[in-house]
Amino acid sequence: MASRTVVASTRVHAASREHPDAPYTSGICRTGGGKLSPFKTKQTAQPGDELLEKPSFDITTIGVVGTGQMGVGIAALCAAKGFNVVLKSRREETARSALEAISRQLRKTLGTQQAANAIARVSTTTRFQDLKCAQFVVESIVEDEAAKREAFRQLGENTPPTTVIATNTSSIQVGKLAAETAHPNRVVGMHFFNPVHAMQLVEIVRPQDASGEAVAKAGALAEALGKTAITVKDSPGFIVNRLLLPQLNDAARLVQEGVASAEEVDEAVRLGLNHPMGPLRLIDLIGVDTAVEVLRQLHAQTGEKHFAPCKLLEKMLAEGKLGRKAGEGFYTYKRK
Amino acid sequence: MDLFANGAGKTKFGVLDASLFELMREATVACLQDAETPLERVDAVVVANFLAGPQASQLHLNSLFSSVFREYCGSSFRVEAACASGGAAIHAAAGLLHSPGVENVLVVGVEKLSGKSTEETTANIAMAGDRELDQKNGIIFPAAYALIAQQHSKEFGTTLEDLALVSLKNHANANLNPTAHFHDKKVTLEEIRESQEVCSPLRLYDCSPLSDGAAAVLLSRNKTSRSVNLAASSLRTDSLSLCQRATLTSLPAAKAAASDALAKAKLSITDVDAFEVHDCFTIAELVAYEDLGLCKPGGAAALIRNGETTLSGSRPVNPDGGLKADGHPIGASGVAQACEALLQLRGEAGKRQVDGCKTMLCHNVGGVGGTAAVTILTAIN
Repeated sequence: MASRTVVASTRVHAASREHPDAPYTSGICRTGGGKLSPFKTKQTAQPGDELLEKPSFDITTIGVVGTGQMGVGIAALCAAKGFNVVLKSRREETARSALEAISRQLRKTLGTQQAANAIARVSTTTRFQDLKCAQFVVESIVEDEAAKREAFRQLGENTPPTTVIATNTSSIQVGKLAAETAHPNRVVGMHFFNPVHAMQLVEIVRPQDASGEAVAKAGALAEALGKTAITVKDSPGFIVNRLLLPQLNDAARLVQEGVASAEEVDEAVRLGLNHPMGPLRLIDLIGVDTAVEVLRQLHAQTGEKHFAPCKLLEKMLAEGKLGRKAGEGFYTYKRK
Repeated sequence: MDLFANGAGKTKFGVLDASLFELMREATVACLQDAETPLERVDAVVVANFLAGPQASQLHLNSLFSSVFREYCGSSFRVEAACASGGAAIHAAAGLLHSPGVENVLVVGVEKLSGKSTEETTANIAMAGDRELDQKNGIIFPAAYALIAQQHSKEFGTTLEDLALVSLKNHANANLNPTAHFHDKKVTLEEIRESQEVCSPLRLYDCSPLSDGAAAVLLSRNKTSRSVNLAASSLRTDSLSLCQRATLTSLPAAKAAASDALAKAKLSITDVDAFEVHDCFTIAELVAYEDLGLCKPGGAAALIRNGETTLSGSRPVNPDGGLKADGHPIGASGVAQACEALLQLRGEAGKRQVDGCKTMLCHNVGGVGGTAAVTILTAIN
């Protein structure tokens, strides 16, 4: 990519609706062709500086493994931001429906022509070896340790050692997945939030063996995707889930004990804690199965009892009342 | 055809309880009273406004005027040119006076900026910048002027202290202006120096405030005992974004509008006794000195350091306190400049009266120079 020399710059401390991530630096740079063009970066930059992160940012193709809500959201976001995306699914049928979901999402958020261009950047495959053209892979399959270990074994074998492999796990120790590959230094965590296009945060998880370069690349990718990255140690539940899941568990327990209905608990949390969404509706959104799995992981990793999923959640899981995707959870949903 | 400005009305500027409706009424009533002209003699209305849509959920402002004044059902338009809406509306109104049967045109600028979060308001004001080039890269309004400040400092050695002097001067003038946003606020150099950085190098006290308010002027073909001459008006435009410009230390549209207006009025810049310039940020006032030809490029800092532009200086700038301290209810700001000119030229500006003020120039800028309107008014001999 051409060089970009800073002509004028300002450190912006005022947050605004579209740029809540202040402080940041904005300004005007001169590209190799002599053209002036605007830029924004989280780093500081003075006139005369070379803007480094973009030229050294060699990611053009991103592999996404998994076609659930998160995989679809991540793939759509990457395509919208101009990256080529190779989406790996287990079966051709799920690949097709995932591609449709990505198209729907892109048409909703972009103009007609931009959406068409973005959709054209997405290809699908069922074979791990087709991910070898990607410089960065985000694994986002089911939150199951055995399944993720297998995926990482495959990714380690099928991608070049220069490719960074990131897992979107919300609860599994990233170091364990890294250990499945021959080059654990290229494995990091990159935890997106649901819905991917709307949530501003990405937790970058740094396992012990991860190289600084891999972590920096994940951070630069998060920025290129318009997100704010927070780097965290490889620890149970990282920041957000470590704080959130006990609360979700407790909310379900309130319903289990008959303290109040799901609607009432949600209303109380929305109005009394000023959360945009109540905890039970949130469980339905993320899925009872995912919530239970994350709680079990946190319980196993910390040994703390309050992480153990409450009886009501276990019962809902057994009955298949998994939330929005199943049409029923704490609430009932019309099938699409 | 000779044109006149026959009356001015202005509300208090500041964070106000009044609605768009009430602000529009108050300024209009005051203006028509000042002009000694009843509403039935107004042939057309031009409403200047920038953000009533996103900030106050109200559009269709030309019709709002008829909601406020149920007896008025004549021709009416809304003009939007970001922060130059007021100046652009005056220029449009002057054009309307050349239409058959149009003798009096009321220009009323109105804005309601309070009531939304700063994050929301900042993003809405950023709509004055290019969607793709500026807004998406976080070049909010203060950031764009911060880039100019940085470049001006690099090229000409303009310092933060020079910017502070602009702020200090305009706050001092506002202390003499009862309708100014910061009429009652005493500001010291220390406060300005120590205020928090908003967009480097600009600090809080380098920025105009978010104000509510309205201002109105009555333009006319008829000379009355209240008249001043509307000697000339000019409007020039440029790209929305600085990225598409050849210079980052000057606003070419403002330069062009000023020289066009001076030529039309057959005046030179040295004939002007006092100035109302668009100091949305302190650096904008210094750039205005240079664009208007008060000094050569790079000479602005010397003017402010030597006190030339204070009320008692050789060329007073922003006697009302400017956008910095009179306030910046965006759509009203350009109209308020003309209101100040009327008062000054009629010798009615009270404690802030510029002695012997016979010619005034108003310089009103939209965005970061995408629009510039210059109006010249002179006293009737």
